[in-house]
Amino acid sequence: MTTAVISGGPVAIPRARTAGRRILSRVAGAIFVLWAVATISFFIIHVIPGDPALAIVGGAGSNVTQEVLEAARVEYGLDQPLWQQYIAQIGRLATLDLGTSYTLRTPVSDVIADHLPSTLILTVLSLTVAWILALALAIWVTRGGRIARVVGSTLEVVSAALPHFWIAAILVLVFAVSLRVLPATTAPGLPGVILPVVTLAIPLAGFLGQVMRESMLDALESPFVLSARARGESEFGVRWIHAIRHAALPGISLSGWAFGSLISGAVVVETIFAREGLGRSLLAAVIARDVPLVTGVLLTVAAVYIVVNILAEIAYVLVDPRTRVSS
Amino acid sequence: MTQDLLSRPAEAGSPTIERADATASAARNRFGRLRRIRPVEAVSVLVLAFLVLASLAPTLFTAIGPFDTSPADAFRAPSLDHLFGTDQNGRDVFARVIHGSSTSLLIGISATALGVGLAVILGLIGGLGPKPVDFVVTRFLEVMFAFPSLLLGLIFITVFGSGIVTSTIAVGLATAPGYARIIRGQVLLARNSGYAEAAVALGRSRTRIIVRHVLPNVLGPLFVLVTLGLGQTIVWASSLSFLGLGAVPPAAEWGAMLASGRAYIANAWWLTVFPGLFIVLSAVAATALGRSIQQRGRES
Amino acid sequence: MSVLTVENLRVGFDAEHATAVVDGVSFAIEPGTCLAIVGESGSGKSVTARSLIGLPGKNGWVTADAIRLGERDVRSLRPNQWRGVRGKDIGFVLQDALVSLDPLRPVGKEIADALRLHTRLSPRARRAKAIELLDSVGVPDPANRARQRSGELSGGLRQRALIATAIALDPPLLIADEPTTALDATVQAQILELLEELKSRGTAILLISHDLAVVNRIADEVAVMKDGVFVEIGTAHQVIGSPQHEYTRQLIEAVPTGKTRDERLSITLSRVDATVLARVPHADPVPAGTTVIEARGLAKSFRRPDGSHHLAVDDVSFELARGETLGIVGESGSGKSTVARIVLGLEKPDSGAVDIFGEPWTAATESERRARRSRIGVIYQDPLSSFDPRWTVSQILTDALTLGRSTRPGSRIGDVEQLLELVDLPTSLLSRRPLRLSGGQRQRVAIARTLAHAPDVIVCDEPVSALDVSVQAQVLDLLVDLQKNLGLSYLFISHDLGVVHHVSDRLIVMKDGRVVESGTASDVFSAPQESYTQALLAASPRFVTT
Repeated sequence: MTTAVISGGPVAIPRARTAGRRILSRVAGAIFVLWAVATISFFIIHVIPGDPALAIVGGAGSNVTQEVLEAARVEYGLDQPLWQQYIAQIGRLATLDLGTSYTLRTPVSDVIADHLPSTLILTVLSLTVAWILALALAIWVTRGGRIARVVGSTLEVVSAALPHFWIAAILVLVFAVSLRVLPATTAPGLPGVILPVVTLAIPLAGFLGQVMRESMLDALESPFVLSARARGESEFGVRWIHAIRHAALPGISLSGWAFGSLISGAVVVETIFAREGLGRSLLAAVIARDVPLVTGVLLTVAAVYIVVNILAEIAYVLVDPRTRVSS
Repeated sequence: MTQDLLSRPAEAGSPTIERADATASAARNRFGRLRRIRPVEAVSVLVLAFLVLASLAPTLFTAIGPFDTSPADAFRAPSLDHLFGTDQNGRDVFARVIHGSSTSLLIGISATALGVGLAVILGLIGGLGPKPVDFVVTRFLEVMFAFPSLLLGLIFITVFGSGIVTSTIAVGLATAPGYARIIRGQVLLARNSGYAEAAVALGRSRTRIIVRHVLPNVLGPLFVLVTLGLGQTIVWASSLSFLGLGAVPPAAEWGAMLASGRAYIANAWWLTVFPGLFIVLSAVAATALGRSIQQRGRES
Repeated sequence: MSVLTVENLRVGFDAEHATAVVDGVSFAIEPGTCLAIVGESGSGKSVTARSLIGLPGKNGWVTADAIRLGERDVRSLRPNQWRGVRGKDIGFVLQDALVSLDPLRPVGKEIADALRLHTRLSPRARRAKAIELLDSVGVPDPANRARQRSGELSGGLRQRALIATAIALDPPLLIADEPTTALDATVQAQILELLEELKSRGTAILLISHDLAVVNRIADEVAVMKDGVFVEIGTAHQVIGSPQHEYTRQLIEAVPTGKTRDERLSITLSRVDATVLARVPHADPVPAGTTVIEARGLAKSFRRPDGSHHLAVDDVSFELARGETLGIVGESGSGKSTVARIVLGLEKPDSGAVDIFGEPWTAATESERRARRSRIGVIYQDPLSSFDPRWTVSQILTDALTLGRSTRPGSRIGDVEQLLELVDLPTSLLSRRPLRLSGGQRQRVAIARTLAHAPDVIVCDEPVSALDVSVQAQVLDLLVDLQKNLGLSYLFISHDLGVVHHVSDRLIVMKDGRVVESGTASDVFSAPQESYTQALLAASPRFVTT
């Protein structure tokens, strides 16, 4: 008879404390990043060769008088010393005043407010579709025999490398031009959003599918699955109760990055399908060198991205509460 | 905690490879590693070789020049004379695609070189440098990561204008943060590894450990990154051209061809499908090759 | 009637059904008894266990003249019939509950699963029964524990929870595959007690283990397995008390517990002879009686993720003299590995100091230490991670011989081969990478590497814990031989009291960072003073052979 006491679990680390700390550091990090983005954007203005006032007024080619240029300069505060302009800019941004677009002559925040929802709908839908496709692919590949494996992994590799514009072109050719079931450019309502969403979703689904398939395979060969089978669990139960959670984990942690790549893709997809969205606005702004609009959109994108990353982290912790050592 | 891992009795019994190896090593020779070439790899290498050949010696494949216009022959569908059809100016699409491979490949390779090169520098500095330096590098990367990759490139183009050179640099810059993070991670792994610590216990100096152990283990898998990166940069560079920010018509660059062909998609599908197909082929070949090498590395 | 009857079981994984990993095994288990299958890795014991529940593994084929559960022939069960049997008629327990329970699910749910699959209880009834079961296997505060995941429980509690999932439906047969490996000795004893209790309730147990001593504790019948066949089978008393087969005798002789250093554990001949030694790098001999390592009042604490402090080492002092072995025994969390790292100069102690050969060691700067590092060697528990994965054995040894200057053998090839001969390895291994070596071979290469720089003292951090018993015996014999002939001093760290006692002159026992007992090895082993040491001793399964 041993005298050793049955010891309990590891010291109960007060979860609230660690969670609180993490949230705090995240928020601090987010603010830092946004500040850095704002600062970089600010200095872009002063790196662009040429007179910003000229860009405001109508571009290098236009014939403008000195007075008009001066007026523009004063209006946009370009005559003040650099550091003053910077402070003013940061101040404006802190109050969420994003300035006025050079080309559209409307407040940047209005432009963003008009276009952000459309882009968000597109990206959120695409992420959902990509997830569903990836999961389906991962499950199908791990179920089937050799053929499923080969076909599945080929599909994954190929689709992950397909450029958006090509997928869009093929889809449009097939569904809009030949079969005429879906519109070639955006239209209000569901049919108009299907092709853009599928275009965005396919490459991402390929990438996510690869990742999820690998971790699903790992899970299916792990000891706890053997334990489950030894209890009498069916193949179905093993997959849907045990393996799928483990398979989803890397997908969740990648979702933040995935969202970012969807936003990148949105620039192309919105252009192809002529959708009014943040991506298209950004593109037009870049071409016209409309700096306030470019920086406004970038800041918004950065902010959204940060929020999505935080959400992805929270989702991860919900599925896998094991305290991990942060890298 | 490491001390728990060190003192917990590990699973008794290690694989007795001794017996199995006696027979297997006889069969496994120097060429063992190349013995099982998968069809995927073979096809990828062939495709890439074909593309390289097309860039270096386009005349091997077509006698027609990429800029030879022939208005009378505009919009011909693919036929024996014009394998990929002709465009709105009667230019042979096949010729343009073949000649375009040099441009597109060159852009892809330069952008990859730039991106991976930058990433190696950043990753090494962050991973090997003192804590404050690593802190700065990590923050810098974090900020870079606040931008979805393509947008980073767009910023660059906003400042420096569009064109082939700027779009190449833009793509390179856009891919750098992702690889930098991977490389930095690898450096940290190697630095904190068991063999690095064993080297300390053996009395090796820090420099020697970095040069002898950390660097080779980090740079070894670099080839995979480069091949995967090539696939990515080809796609992005042509995306930028497609958006009008890179190469512009009449340049025979694949992305630009796609952009100009888009307007005629209903009537002349071959103007978009074939250049796109080549982009896809080169990107997929590079990516598949990279993934396959990665898989090999994992299995060995 | 036997709970399980097996006749001529054959299992293999090749398509032609020609090579069998389990080649004709027969046995029977009666209710309330335990049959143990003992073997080393590769013997086929785990495959046997898994085949009995119809899960031999990928591409596995199973044939037998008979496999009967009670009266029922289970050889040709269809998958859905097997699902009815698993968990209900046969319970299965794997080792290491940390990975054998789904780390993402609460353990209560895992237990309730077994109930869901085989009963018609409502979810609420299942939850209640799960808590009951946790209580019956000795988990305190079961209602709260049921909500926790395996990672939140200690090793012993996890294993109990895993056992609870297997006995949820009170199956007549319980198969346990290495159920106590990965557990501390004291916890191991508790789990074995639990299994004893199950046995007394009438459950038949099939125990798979590599550990003869564990087996001796609860098995009624023992079968010794090697290369897919039983080389010996009989009552525990017969097999362990008076083994008939050569292999069984070898296994028993290889266990170091209770044997002094002079008794050889393995049958390999010593390769350490004068001619070989003459050509191996040699340090200037240190005069006898010198204190090689002196540790005074060492203390070290670490910061936990939540900010609190964990005192890993608390006022530890000891001395190691030339030519002797000082053993450090402790379970996980005792701080012994931290002590090893401090002695090696890889960690700086918060207070206290270590002197080596009379000169300050921990107090010195790293560059000062670097110059003297060749006098201290180290052997790790997991040699694989201490080797650069890209280097071959030849490179590893040449690097060690040239003190890091080169990895190309060149003129030193002769010395490299001598080193290999010293540790009894063939030169054909020179071009191999460590990944392609067996565990025993890797450890020998690690020993060769450390000998290459002619150390006076070697810190051995659990050097044999990851090895099979027979390989462990060989490595221990090698270490003993080397010490005798080269005058080495060892700081030998292990959780296994039997091993430590076998190789050490003196030893200290650590618990929770403090030294609880110290003395000569034989004194501590035969007459431990402290209750913890007594508990350790009682918990380390031993057996007395005739």
